[in-house]
Amino acid sequence: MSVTALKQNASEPKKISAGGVKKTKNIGLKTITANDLMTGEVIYFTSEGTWSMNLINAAVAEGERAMALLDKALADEARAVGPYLMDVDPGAEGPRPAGRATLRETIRRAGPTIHPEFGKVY
Amino acid sequence: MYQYDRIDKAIVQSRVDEFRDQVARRISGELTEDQFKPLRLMNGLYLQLHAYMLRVAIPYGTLSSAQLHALAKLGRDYDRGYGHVTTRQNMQFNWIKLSDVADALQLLADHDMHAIQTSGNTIRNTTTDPFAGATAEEIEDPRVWCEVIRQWSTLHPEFSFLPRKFKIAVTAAKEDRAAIQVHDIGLQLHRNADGETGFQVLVGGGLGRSPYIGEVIRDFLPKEYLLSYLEAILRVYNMHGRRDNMYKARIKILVNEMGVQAFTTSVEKAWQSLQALAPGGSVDLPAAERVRIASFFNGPDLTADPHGEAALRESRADHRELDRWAGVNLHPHKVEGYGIVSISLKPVGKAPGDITSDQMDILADLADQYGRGEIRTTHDQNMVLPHVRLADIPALYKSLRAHDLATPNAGRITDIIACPGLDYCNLANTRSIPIANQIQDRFNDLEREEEIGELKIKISGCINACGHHHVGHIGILGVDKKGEEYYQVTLGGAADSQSAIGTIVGRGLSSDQVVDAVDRMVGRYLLLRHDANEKFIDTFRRLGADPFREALYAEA
Repeated sequence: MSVTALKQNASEPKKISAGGVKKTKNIGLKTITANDLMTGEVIYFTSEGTWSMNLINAAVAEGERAMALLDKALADEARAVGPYLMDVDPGAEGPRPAGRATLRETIRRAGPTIHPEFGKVY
Repeated sequence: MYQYDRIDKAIVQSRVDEFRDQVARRISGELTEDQFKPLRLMNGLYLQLHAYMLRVAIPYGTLSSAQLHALAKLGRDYDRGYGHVTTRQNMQFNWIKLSDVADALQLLADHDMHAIQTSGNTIRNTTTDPFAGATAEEIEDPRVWCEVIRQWSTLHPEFSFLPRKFKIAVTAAKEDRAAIQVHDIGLQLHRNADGETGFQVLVGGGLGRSPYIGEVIRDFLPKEYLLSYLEAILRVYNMHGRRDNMYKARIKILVNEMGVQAFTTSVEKAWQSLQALAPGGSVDLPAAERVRIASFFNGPDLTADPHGEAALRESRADHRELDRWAGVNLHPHKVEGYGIVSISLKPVGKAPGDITSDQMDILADLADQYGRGEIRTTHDQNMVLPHVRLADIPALYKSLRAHDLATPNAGRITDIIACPGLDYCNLANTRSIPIANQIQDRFNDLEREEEIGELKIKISGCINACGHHHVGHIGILGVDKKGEEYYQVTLGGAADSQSAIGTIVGRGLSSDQVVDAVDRMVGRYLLLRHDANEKFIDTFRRLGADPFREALYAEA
């Protein structure tokens, strides 16, 4: 590998899935989200290694810790389909969607904007 | 209508049983998700943003009332009480649970339906004119050939793993209501100089990120050779289509890269090879089988009613709303005293193409009462009752209206095609349905809508173009700009007999600019048109994009 490539590797985290067709880099705060195997519902990985339907219960991590959490989540095939890292901002009421996929993750969290009757209440 | 025979029933039932077992093995952990995903997709089961989505095949958009009741039950028992009509004339259910899917498929199988080949790199549901079998414009019922294609293409071993998905449309009328020019294969039934019936064969049309209008590779194919010719096209595609890049894997790219002439030569050569194998190229149907299939499409025995038109005229004269609705949603039928009725699934403020289970039940009952028990779905996300006595139209209208199924907007500016967009879809970049609803709201004035006349707006939430924006008179494509929703406008597209890919007219607009921009373009059209008979698309074709571009960005 060339020196230039090595430098790029060192400073530029490789691209990772951000849900759907979106890509992002492993920079900043992340939670792990997926869909429930049985219902398809949106779920978030907690620090206890379980899944919650409520984003405020999600574990938040950065860098290698985030990747380690993702590995754990990926191993839980009995419960989750397609876990990936999702950008979040910290908030007084828990993490909230952030970054390029903010709208996508806000809709996943809250339900379709066109069907308020299907909105999620926790 | 075609009725499943013993073989059809056995195939569909075996797939239900097989999938029930596959789901159980996934739940038990015997199958990983990577192993299970291709299996569920083969049965039309996607995983979207919020839930699993089941896409049910409605062959060539034809349903019996019993089948529509079954879809209503599926929506009610296994989903959230509604379904969604797609641009392939299918119906999607957005909230299904994995543990319910096998039971839902069993319900479908019990009513001669399934979800096979509604996903994956296979030959998808063949679509056609929703007025087939009812319009006087056609030379014969194209659904006979759609059914022939259905039987040939279902679980075809050679074509179950194509480079990419494959879509075929057939029409037999001059007015193209099936968008055949933007399909992988478009088939136009017509008569040659000798009065024989055959197909004009177009290949390589399509939308998505690289839109193309199909090229004619054969002007006249005697209809008895349809299957061997299709087999030859698919064989060339399967052999030479790209598998290294999914964005370049559709047949339109192959036709473009090979050149039409070279592609046509390859197809003709493959066809000759098939013909040499056996009489009829080994796959063409024996005449008796074609006759047997055709016998299912004789249509209802309708007795002409010479007084129907006068009776309806009298009712319309007394009832302004009925008159307005019939003016756009009622179409001529081949039998005197009958009409074809468009059921709009585009009431203002609702997701285009959505229909509740209660509405499905009502419509199925009305089809039994007034429409010979037959219903069609359309590629523009509406439904049709193809055989209604004109004398029954007032009573039908009254019932439809009571259930929010009588929106008078067929082909009008509020009759918008919109993909599910980011409200549901895993691939979307932006929302589509809220933009459609905002445009509907802006033009929610029947007098103004009538003044504007035919104007087709089509909206896609990403470049995959499921909302057919490329062929909208006004097309709207959602694009993601650093996490913000923007919308790029195309003009002059069409999916009729003069199909055209719309022209991109400039930079994208933010979501709060789009509706005003459309409004300004419509205002400009009203100023520029020769008279009320000149449609938006005709004014565009006469003047080009410049005056509309100017209006589009006037205050943006």
